[in-house]
Amino acid sequence: MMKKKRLIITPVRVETDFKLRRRGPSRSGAAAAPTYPLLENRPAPLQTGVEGEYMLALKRDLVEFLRDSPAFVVPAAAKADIERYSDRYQAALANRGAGELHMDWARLPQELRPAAGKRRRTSPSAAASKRAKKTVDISNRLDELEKKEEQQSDGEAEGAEDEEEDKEAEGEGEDLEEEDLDEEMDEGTDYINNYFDNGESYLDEDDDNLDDGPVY
Amino acid sequence: MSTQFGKLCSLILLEHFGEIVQKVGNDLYKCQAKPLSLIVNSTKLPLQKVKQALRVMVKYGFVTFAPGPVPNRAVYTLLPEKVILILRYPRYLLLVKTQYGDEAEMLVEEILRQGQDTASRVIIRAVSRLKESLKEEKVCLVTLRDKFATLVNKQFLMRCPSPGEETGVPVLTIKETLLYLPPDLNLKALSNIEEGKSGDAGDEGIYWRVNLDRFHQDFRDQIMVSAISRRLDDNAGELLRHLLKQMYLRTEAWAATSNPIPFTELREAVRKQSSHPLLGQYVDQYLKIMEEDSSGFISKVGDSSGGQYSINMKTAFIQLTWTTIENIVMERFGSKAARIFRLVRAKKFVEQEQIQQVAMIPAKEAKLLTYRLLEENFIQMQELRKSLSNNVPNKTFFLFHIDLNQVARMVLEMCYKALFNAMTRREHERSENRRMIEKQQRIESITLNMREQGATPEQLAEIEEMLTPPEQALIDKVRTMINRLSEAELQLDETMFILQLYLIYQL
Repeated sequence: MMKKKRLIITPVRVETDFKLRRRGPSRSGAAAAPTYPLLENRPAPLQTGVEGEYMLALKRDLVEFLRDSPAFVVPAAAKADIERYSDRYQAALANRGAGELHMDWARLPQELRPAAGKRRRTSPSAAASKRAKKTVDISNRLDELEKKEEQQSDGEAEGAEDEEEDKEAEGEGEDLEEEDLDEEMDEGTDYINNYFDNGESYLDEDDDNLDDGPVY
Repeated sequence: MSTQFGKLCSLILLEHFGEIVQKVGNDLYKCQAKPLSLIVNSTKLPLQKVKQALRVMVKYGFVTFAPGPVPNRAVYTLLPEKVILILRYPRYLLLVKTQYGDEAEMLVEEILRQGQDTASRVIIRAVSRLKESLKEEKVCLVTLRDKFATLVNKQFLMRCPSPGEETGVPVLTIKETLLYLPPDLNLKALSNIEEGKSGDAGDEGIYWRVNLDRFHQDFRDQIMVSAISRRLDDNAGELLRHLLKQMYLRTEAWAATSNPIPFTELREAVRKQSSHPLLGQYVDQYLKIMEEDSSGFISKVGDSSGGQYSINMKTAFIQLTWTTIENIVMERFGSKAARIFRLVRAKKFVEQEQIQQVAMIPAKEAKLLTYRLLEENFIQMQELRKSLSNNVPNKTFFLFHIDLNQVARMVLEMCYKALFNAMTRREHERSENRRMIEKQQRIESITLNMREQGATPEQLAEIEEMLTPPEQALIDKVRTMINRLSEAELQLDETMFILQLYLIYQL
């Protein structure tokens, strides 16, 4: 009876052994399995032939084609801290994959379509007109304030309302300053301004929209 | 869907579409369906880039979308099995080339490269590429249009479903009758566009894609025919080809068993061909041999009209899978292990002692090999007890058997892993030697330029010397290795194809 029992145990032990070995390093005292275990047998040779070579060429062509096509999505390049000579070449390389994907946008959900409406709102001409309007407003405002100041010097009775208006004017004046600053920076690197403006307002808006979605 | 499969998918996406698409793909792989906002959240990528990646994947058919719980917002689903098929593109093209010629190949290649496109644009691009490669001025638009129509009629190309009237998330649908309706192209406008003028070819909005299942059907037939040719002879292979042709007349292409094919019709078909004169004489004998063969590709199902035969697709692929796995066991563990494997297969359930006796292998070695096969999961063990209580000493049998379904899945998994390893290694080799490869490419382009400018042989030799002999040797070595690995990838795919087909037929 004893002998039979021992016989039974053997295969079971093989199995546990296997499970332990698979877990590798956790087994105490045993060396970890090598990353590249030696092959027992030489692998069977590959079939070679004209067809294989032709398929190889096709495979390579496909990869090269896709690499250069707009389908190859490249990450947005990090903004460079300083201008480097090599940047010019890298820019040329990065532009390789640029260009729009040829596609019928009606086949895509609306959220994936390049939104034409949004773009128009952030287009430079619209922004410029907005800015112009603002400046006109402010000069008007200043004129008004000047008049009011004169009035105030006449009689310093009115208080709270005017102060408020003053504050507003100040705030808008700051805005103006900021925008002026932006413009100055724009002149050298047009690219940064465009990118920054478009990207951020676009993102913000979309993010807002997306927040409406339920949380799972 | 395993982790290994996911890793392979991700690597393929990285190689073909870049890291952004890879990240989005990885994220989608982990879950069933996800809306855009959640993808942005979990990938931490800019919204614009995620959108771009999704557009690309939708275009190539790797991602589908459906209206989600929130109105006007879609949920996206990744189809990883489509991603893996990118590796098979060269095989599709080779098949089209051999069956329908270079022009057809160019058309299919253009569609594969774009994912989906309109017929007019595909034809125009194919024309310009053919002009470039053949250095011919005249490439006939009519031929290309006809080739396109042939491919559509043969169902290699199919229409993409088109969107309805919905706002927000379009629902793509197509009528069955329209699916393989050739496009109606305005040739005059087409030639105008080709010359650079504007024109309307009259197929705006009708997109085409490649019907990969149709290709798989052809691969399947090829595999079966070549298997029979190897087992019996070319005549038998030819006979099977005729049988398959007859099958398509009356059976749906992916049925497990074909409807009965009458002998008389088959004989008529064989008589009409002239390439295999012997086959015409001995059709009935060949049929008999094939039917009685253990491979079981065809079977006789009736005696009316000279005998009715049907093709057993499912059995055929079970047999092919068995053979594939037997060969793998043979290559990995040697012929003695393969003998044990075949023995277990033949006996269904067998005890250790019986294996030793029947396989005629010394007891110790047989035990060792059996347990190794068990350890590597190529064979399974079944325990049989007379009573279930543990403490009573009783007799227990340990029977070895093979669960083909499980083994096939495991081998498929091994294939994915091997593919992944081969691709990783190839990329590693390439990046390790990037500088060298780039240098060589530069030198090549300089040489080409100089040659065009009519440089003297001495000058050319001087340029070539910029690459020292050891460098040249290294480059050759790396290049051979990269080619070898790519070729291995292509051939691994053939094994994968058989196993995948087996699993599909099992469902």
